[in-house]
Amino acid sequence: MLTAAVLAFLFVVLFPFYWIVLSSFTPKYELFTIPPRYWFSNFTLENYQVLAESIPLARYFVNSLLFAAGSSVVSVAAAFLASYALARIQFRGANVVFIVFVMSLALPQVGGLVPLFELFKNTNLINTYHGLVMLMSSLVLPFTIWILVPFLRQIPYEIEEAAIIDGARLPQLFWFITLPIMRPALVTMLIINFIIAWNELIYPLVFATSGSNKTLSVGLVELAVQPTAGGGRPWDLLSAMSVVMIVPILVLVLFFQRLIVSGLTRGAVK
Amino acid sequence: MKSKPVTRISRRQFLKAAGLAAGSLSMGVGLSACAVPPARVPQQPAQPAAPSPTQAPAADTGRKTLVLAIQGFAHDAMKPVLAKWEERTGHKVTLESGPVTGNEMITKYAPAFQSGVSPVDVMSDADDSGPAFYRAGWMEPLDEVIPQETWDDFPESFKQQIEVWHSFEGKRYRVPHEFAIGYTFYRKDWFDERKIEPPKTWDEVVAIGKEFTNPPVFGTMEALIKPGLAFVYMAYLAAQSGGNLFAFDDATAKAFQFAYDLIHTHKIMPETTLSMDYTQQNEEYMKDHVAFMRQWPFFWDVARGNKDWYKEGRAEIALPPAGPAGAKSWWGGWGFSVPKFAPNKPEALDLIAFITNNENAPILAKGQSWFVMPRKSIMAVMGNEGLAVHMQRYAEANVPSPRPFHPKVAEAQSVVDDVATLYLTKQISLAEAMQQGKERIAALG
Amino acid sequence: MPARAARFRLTQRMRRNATLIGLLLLPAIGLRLFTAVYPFFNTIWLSFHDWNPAFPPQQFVGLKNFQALTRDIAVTSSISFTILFVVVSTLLEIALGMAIALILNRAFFGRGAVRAVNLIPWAIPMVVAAVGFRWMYDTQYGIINDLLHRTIGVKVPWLVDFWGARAAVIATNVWKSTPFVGLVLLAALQGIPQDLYEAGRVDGTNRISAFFYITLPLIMPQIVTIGLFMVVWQLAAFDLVFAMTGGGPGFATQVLAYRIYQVAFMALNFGYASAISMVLFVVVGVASVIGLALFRKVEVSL
Repeated sequence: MLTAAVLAFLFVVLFPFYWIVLSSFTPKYELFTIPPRYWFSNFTLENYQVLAESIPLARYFVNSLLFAAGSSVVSVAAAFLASYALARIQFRGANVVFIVFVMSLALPQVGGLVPLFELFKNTNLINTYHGLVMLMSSLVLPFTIWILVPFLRQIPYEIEEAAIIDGARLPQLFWFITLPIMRPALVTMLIINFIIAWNELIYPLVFATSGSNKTLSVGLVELAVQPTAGGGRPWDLLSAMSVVMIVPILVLVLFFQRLIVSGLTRGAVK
Repeated sequence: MKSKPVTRISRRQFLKAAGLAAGSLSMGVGLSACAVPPARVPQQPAQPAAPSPTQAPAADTGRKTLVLAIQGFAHDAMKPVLAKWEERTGHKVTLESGPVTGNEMITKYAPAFQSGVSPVDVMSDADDSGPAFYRAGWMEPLDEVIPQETWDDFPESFKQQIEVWHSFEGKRYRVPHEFAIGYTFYRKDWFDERKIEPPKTWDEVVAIGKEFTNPPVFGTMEALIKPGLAFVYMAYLAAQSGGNLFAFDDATAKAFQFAYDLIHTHKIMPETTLSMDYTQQNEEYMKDHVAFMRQWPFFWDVARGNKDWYKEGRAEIALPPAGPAGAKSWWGGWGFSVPKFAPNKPEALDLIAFITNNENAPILAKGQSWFVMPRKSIMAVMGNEGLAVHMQRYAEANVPSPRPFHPKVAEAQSVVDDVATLYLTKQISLAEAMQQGKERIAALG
Repeated sequence: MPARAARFRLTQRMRRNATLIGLLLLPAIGLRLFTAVYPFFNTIWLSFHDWNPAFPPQQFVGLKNFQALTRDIAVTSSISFTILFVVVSTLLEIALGMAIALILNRAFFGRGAVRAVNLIPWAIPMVVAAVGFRWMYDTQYGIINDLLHRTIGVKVPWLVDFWGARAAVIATNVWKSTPFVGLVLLAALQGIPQDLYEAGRVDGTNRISAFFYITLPLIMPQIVTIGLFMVVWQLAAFDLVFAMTGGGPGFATQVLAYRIYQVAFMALNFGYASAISMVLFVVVGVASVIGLALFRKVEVSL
């Protein structure tokens, strides 16, 4: 009974991936067969080749990487500083500020696009990496703070106390004591925010309009949503591009499984 | 006191990120800058006969680098013509991949134009973005720049289209370089076998369609998925019924009703077309599931490129069936224009006149079927080749009908798209569809 | 105690040092002000204007945009499907997520690997899921219809049919998001002290009643938290519909977030898009108020 449930679960979760991978190595003309083929028949790398020729794949990949890495570093840095103030200094109103931060999660991202677009246009931030990184790090900031503040509150104050008595100043304190103590939480949030940013669609779609700034997610959507471009949805290319997009994520997930789980669950479960 | 170092930490991280971004940016700029000279280097020694550009470098100040944005697949065809112009003027042209839809044109360029700058000197622009651009005053009028003989090269039937789609307040802003019309492709082999002709009227569409329909084989098919494709088909049927599409008048209602009947009443078109795109439509056709269908010119090459399937007679072109207003099919396409804020405007104007002239239009057309148009100069060179024959035949039979116009064309098209799919999926009645359509068009102002 | 004294002095000093607090909070607050708070207020302002950058100038039009909203089928359908989509998705995610959590909480061979697999749907981009499922739902070439055809002999025109498309979109969303919910609920389960169950066993409660009388009440706060999180998150979801159905057929699967994007960036109708954004703000606001009321009931603290 339990085994059956586990197997059913594995099937439902993994089958779509199998299907995407299978399609990406199947020649285009064989994708449109009835019934569909369930196993690799004519293994081919052609889809990947055509994909690399038809869009600047390497460029998009690098863009995604810079965008995701930049956003995760900036968001965690900003969240670290803010959580220190909120968790350690505990000034009057700290808790209100914390709650307001967390509540701002609820502001729907798409609702602010128009003013942001005008603002970015006027400040020449459209099609810039720093503009995109700013938007994305702000988007994941509330969640990051939500995780970091309780984490910091749990850590005993004694070590920092000892350092202060030894005459450490705040920057030294941060660098030698607080950062190392918080490392597991910070690394976790770096990875989670990286994954979230890597998967992000709306911001790059709206604010990276030139070919040189587009990310993989935008490239994928462009292939998928423009039936008039090449005449249809090129499933051969879409599946190949999907694979390109999820492989780095899979590697991260498998390597850092434990960290990610601890980070994702800490918000809701304390 | 302690506060300063604190900010330095955040600033350091910011700087790191910014440095990373800046570094990669400059790397990108460097790379793209590098990409141009190596291509040019071998050309220069190879042209001793052209004195002006090779001697010019002393006065390097006059040398400009222009940016021309056009869809990526057309780049190769552009290159020989651009090389000729570079040779003649000593300037350089960098090709950039332009958007592939009118919506994307608007999203990409409107903000820049609005703030008075242009990232490109010459661009290939779509029907559904061009009119908004000239209206807003963001394009350069071309009447003085393009010689009369270029305009005269276009057939008479183009006049109206150029007036409506390429001009604003009597000035012309765009030179067409593509002629996209919906052709009727049909299985000549099947029709010959039954000794019948392709349908000439809407009634025949139904009658002949029924004769062929035997699922999974259907009389006809038309991909109707969102966004955009339902509009294409409704505009096609409205051209045949004589409807003024964006007015949602009675004749337009007839076109809607006809599409509905094909799917739901006569069932000669499968319901699944509502979620099909053009790839799927073509695949169905090439699986021998379709007797005849409307499709854009690119299917000509798609069918002939499918070596395993293609045989003569399997994808021939017939004139479209006639509705109440005759055998019509609307056409549209992309054209070249120059933004008002082009960084090198004088050179850009010279370039656009050069690439559209009667000598170079055929060269572009030879290089890429996207540039084939019923221009006299092009037909003189390729008039008896493949698709161009049918292009001429359609033009002679007066099939091309103007694309439905609206000043906010992108929005108006999506109204048709929305209303048509609602009606064809039985979510609203025909009367409601027409009412909704009228109201939403009126709301566009 | 010198340590206590030092701590006292430091915190006192820090608390009075408003500059320090300000500087620590500045990057975070600055980012949020710039990219979330300012746009929010400006959207309110723009919603009372006619503003299309291709058709300047910007004009104050009062309530015109809001009046147009009420007659616009695209918007009214979006509201109803957005709510349906979010409510049904969230309920299914919690029910199925609970099942996943219960399975993964049992001991079996390879549990670690299965837990890792559970993370994958969360980690992949929604657009990949949307595009992949779109292909699997294809009426003719799709694997789902082929399996249905083989087992029960029917083919469903998933993305053509009004309810078929809705079911397909919701199912894809549930597939993508449930494992995340399961993960959180699993962590909640692990926090329940085992002796409670042992006590229950002594009293003769069976498994099913143990679930309803011990497990469920104990993890109710986490269920409500993750439920509210999913509701708010999914109200703003956009990628799935964008890449999978484009809102079609008709407006069967149109959601507010995608409609806003279409009106703003495909038609450049900024004023009207802002008015639709206001509808989304209101929906999110109502959902949050309901959520917070539930919070109070089950005593969740942030």
